[in-house]
Amino acid sequence: METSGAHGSVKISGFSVVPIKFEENSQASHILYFKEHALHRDDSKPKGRSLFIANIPPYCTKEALERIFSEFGIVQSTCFSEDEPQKSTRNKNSNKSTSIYFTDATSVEKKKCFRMGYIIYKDKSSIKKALSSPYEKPFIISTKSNPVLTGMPKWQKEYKVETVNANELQDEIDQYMESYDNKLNQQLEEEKDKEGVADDEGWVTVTKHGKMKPTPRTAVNQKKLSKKERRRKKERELLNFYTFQIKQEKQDRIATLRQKFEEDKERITQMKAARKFKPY
Amino acid sequence: MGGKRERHEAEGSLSDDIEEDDEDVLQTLTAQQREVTGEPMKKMTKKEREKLYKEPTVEELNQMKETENLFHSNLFRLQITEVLKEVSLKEKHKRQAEKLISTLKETILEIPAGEQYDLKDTKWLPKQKVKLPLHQVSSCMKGKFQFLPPLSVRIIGSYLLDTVVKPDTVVDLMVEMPKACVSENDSQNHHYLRKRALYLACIATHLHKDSQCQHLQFTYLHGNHLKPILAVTLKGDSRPITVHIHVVISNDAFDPELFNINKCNVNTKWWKDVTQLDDKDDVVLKPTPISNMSVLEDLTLQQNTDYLEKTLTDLSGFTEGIKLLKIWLRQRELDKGYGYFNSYIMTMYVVYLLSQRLLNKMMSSYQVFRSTLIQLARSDWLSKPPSLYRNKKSGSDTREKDMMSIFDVVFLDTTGLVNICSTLNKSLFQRVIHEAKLSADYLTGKTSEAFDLLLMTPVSFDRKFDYCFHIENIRPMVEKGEELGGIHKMVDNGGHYLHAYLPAVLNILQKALDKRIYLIQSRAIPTPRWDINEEVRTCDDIERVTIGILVDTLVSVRAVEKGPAADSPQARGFREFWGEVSELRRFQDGSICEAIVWSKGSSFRKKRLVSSKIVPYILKKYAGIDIDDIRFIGEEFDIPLHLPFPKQPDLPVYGTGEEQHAVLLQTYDSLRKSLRALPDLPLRINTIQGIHPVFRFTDVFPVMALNQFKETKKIGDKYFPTRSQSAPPFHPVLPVMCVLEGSGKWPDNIDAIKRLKAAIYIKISKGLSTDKSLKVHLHATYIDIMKDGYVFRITISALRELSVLKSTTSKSGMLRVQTTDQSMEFEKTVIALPKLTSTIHGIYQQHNTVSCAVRLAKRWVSAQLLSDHIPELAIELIVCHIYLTPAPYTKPGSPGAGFLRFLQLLSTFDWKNTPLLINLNTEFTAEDFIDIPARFQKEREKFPLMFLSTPYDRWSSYWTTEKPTAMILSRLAVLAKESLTLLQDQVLNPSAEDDIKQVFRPPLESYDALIHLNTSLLPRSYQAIDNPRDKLVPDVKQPDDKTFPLIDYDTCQLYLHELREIYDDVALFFYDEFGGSCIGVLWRPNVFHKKDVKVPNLCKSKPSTRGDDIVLECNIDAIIEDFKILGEQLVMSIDVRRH
Repeated sequence: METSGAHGSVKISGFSVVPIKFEENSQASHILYFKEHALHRDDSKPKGRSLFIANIPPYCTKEALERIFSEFGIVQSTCFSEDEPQKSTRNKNSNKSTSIYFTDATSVEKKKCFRMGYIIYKDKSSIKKALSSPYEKPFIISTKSNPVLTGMPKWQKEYKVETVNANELQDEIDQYMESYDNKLNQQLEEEKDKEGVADDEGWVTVTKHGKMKPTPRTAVNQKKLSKKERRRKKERELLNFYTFQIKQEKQDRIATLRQKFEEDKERITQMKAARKFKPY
Repeated sequence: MGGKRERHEAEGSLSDDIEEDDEDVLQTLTAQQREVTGEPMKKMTKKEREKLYKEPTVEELNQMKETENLFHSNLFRLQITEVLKEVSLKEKHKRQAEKLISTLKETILEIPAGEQYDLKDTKWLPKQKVKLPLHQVSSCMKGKFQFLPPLSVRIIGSYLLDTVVKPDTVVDLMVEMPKACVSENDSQNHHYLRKRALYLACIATHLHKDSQCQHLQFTYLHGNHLKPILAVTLKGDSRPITVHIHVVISNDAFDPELFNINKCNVNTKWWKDVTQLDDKDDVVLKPTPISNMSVLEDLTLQQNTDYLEKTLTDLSGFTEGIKLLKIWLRQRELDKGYGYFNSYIMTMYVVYLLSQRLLNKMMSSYQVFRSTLIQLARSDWLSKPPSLYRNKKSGSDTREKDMMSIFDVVFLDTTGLVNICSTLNKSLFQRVIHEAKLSADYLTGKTSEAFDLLLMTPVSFDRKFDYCFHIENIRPMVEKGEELGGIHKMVDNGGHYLHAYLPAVLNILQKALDKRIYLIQSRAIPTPRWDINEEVRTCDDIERVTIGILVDTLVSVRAVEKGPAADSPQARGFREFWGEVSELRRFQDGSICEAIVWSKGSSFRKKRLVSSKIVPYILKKYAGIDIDDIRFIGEEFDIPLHLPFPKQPDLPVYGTGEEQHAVLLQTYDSLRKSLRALPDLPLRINTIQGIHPVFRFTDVFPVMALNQFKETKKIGDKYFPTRSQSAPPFHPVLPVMCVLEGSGKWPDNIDAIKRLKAAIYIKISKGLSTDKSLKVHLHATYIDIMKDGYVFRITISALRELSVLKSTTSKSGMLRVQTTDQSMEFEKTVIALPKLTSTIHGIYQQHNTVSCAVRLAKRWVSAQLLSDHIPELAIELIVCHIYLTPAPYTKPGSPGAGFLRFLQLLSTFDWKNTPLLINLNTEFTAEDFIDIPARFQKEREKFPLMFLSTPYDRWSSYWTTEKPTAMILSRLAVLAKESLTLLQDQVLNPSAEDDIKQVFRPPLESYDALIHLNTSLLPRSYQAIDNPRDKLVPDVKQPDDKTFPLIDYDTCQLYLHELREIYDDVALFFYDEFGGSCIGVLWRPNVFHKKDVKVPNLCKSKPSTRGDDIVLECNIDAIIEDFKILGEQLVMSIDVRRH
């Protein structure tokens, strides 16, 4: 641990360390770790003005976090890392319509946990101020003027029974279905356009668009086909015809008996180990 | 096997076909094999192959043939060999025993003759050292006694026949008393019994001085107080050996005819002279069969032993078979005690079957065991008694008939003089036959489990019988002697009133309970054993008599006993039998009959306990036993399910919850009707099925239709929580699943399906809004409907969703079917759960106690703070298993019996090696019983720890895939065992301090921290086991069916949910959902590890040091503070024990 500065700020491998308390009179406190955000992949977190914060307690709201760090300068924006869209899905979902009634099949429910977050200051100098904040002066999440609700008061406030307006819902559904149908038709058109046109390597995709649907190419259907083939082959074979077959069959029978015997013996030893033979 | 597996796969592939109709998906899903389908068997190595395919030796072939012919299967044979090895005496042990016994024999033979004393006199026995082991009321004895050296000493019984079964390793030694010790007159008035006891006391006196004898005690042979024997513990090299010394008279001492069962050898006058001083000469000489038999047994002992020895030598199959039968008896607690089916009777029966050629000498132990049980099950001893007496001379038939008129059960020995079963009473014999029948069924049915069921599972009294009652003071029986068979019975039994009258009491009870019960049996009183210097034990030492009944659950709940018509000739008998409780009643069909009304209330609980009213009444009337001396065990089990709801005229009865379930289901049924009647829905609703436990009768505390509490406030048409200092009672939402009929028009996109479903919701809600009795709240993914104060949440699904969820398109354009988490969830809630709910509901309709048993089990699991760690459906399925496959018992007839067996199953079941097959609707095939365990064992790792397989769900064990974990499972077994021992003790040895609630209070010692909650803020505090009875459900008011109640608002669950979500990586949380007042916390072991400073490790940490390095450690203090912060107001205090 290194201590630097007149105020006694504490640093651990680049992180400034300051305790964070729920209330003024809380007994124990968590530790907030923060440092200047070093990676710059996009413009949302400009260099020199962004602060990366780790181990934010779950009851610390965005507002409380912003309030705490506004002590060192004007905060431009605050965000939690989990709120940011994942890179892989960002592009895909960008054009999806957001609905107040439905969640998408792909979206995941947010879990409460200890979070990481970013503060983006308006001014570069605020970062320095923030980083040198002293260890002895813990941050307070819930103050008299800005209380944070937990426990009973919170649950009581959050209780709600949702009801929706049938007409509005119906309108949204109609809209969605219309655009969905359009999309499907468009796809079909595209496929039809492509018909007979060879791709880069010269392959032509053939599709049937009649009233009778063709059997689809599924993994299951393919399995079925190969099974049928095997069965046919087997039927053609002659059994009990040659002497070697009869002999083989007898041998096989003894072998299975033996194998079963061995298996049983193993089970018995297992049971014995479990003291299963003491009837008292 | 191979072929079968292929078939399974074929079915699986069919069902995977997404082009099939939706209905077909439903049908074939049941037979489907999911992800877990076995990989092809491992290729054998060359060596293994050679080993399997080598030429068989002659010996091996023989063995295989033998196994096939003489034993049912290899496994059975191996199991039998193992168990026999376990119970048989080791050769080393035997050699040592023989050496010791031969010296003991000599010691006894060398005892010198004693002096002659008066028969009355016992003062000559060394004071403080030996007391006479016989209790005699009358001391009026004439004659002399002199000890003469014994004629012979020989080993008899099981040791001689090599049928000793550990742990009862006793060597029986017969000492022959010379003829000169007795005179002709000694046949009268128990003089012989006295002489025999004196003789035994003399031997004891001598052996007392012998250094070889460690410990000397008297005991009774088979609990028979007329037959004291001496138990000698011999000092062995390694372990002591117990020898029982029996004294018998030389067999030519008396003429057996003297002891004919019709002769009287004990004069009632002689007996009465002493007890009562009124001198009446008109005492009739009534025969004394029991006393006579006891002497005759002595006279014929040698002959019978010779016969057994001659027959069984060199028949190892038989001796081993007898050993198995002895284990069988022992596991059923049938072999020990007065009037029980002891192993001597069993051995004689086997020999009898051999003599009748029902067994043959070539048979293996398994075959002897099996055939004997099957013969026993089929036999009809009561009308055709077995007999070893061959000599069919004149008179034997009449003797048999005489015996049958006197004894309940008759089985003649080789001499034709003795009834081996003279003490066996009818009710016990019925139990033996009942057990034999059950066992014969297992033997002829599926054999894979038969071994365990027959020989390894103890069938204890408390679990076998549905209800027990204890008679704590049996003395009043003496007063009622005349009604219970007459005073001469007591005389015959040497004053032992219990042995004299108990069979009669049981017979009367059986008559009174009639069709209500299948079986009645009194529990064996442990055979007393006492040191030779102590007073003899008599029947006054018996603390209590325990009687168990096995009830027919359908008949036993009849509150009114309908007798014969008032004018019929039987009416008088009925009135006389029942006495004043019988009255004339007019029945609905117009007939006027004698009848008894046992219970006025109609609650399920009262109906179940009708027999608890009949039994004390009969005992009072016929045996004079006071009601305060009778303890009925069984009703205690209703306490944990009872709620102190106030009785209100317009509210339905709550009772033990079953009534409330029924009321709720009525509402549900009418709701179903309204749903079905909905006009013009785009698709028909195929099935409507509730999926909450309430719809299966298994909700521990079914919700009441209450919604108006002072703790809530009304805004619009809904109630909301307030900032009050107490919580409103919990009101859950009851989910109902509707499945729509199949249609090809559903889109291929899950989001689009969701929209279309919402459109249907809108239609439904519009359709229902005209119904004034309903209050409908529409939501995009469900509808909440309130009816009669209950809130149902309707969800609809289409089976098409499943195939959409499962199918993915690969790059090459091929459609693949894959199980995903979502599709699994869909299968569980839309297909499996509704089916299971209706099945369990069906089971309840067949077995009316299943509901209480399941709920007791659930409540118990929750009380151990494990409710969130063990899925409730797993518990329900296990209890169903107990009802569907009750072997080795019959199905439980009371909630208590079901619950005890649940505990037994949990404490003994070997989850690691065995799958639990729950045969719902008996849809498992015989092959399933072989295939499922076989594959389970081969691919153990693929299956969950607790593997429950049902015919609808053979391989995936839906409900236990994640929970319970290994730790929880083993803890559950430990807790179950402890609770079981405690309850068993309460059932069998009740005392005033007993409290069933004891097992429903959580053990808190093992937790690292305890979070104590503010009980007044718990929405379910009224369900707590120790909730004071006067504290009722907070302010029950009239239900208001215009306003939506506060639903699913359980602050404690919200709190737990937050805790688990945030701190799952550092701690486990344990809670009793039924009003528990504290949460147990266990730190995960990794909490105490120190970690390097890295960004992922920063979570919940604080800086610390390890040597010179800076590292991170878990910030436990802050976490504990967090527990308080997150549970603001709800948490009272946190008690930290380890950090």
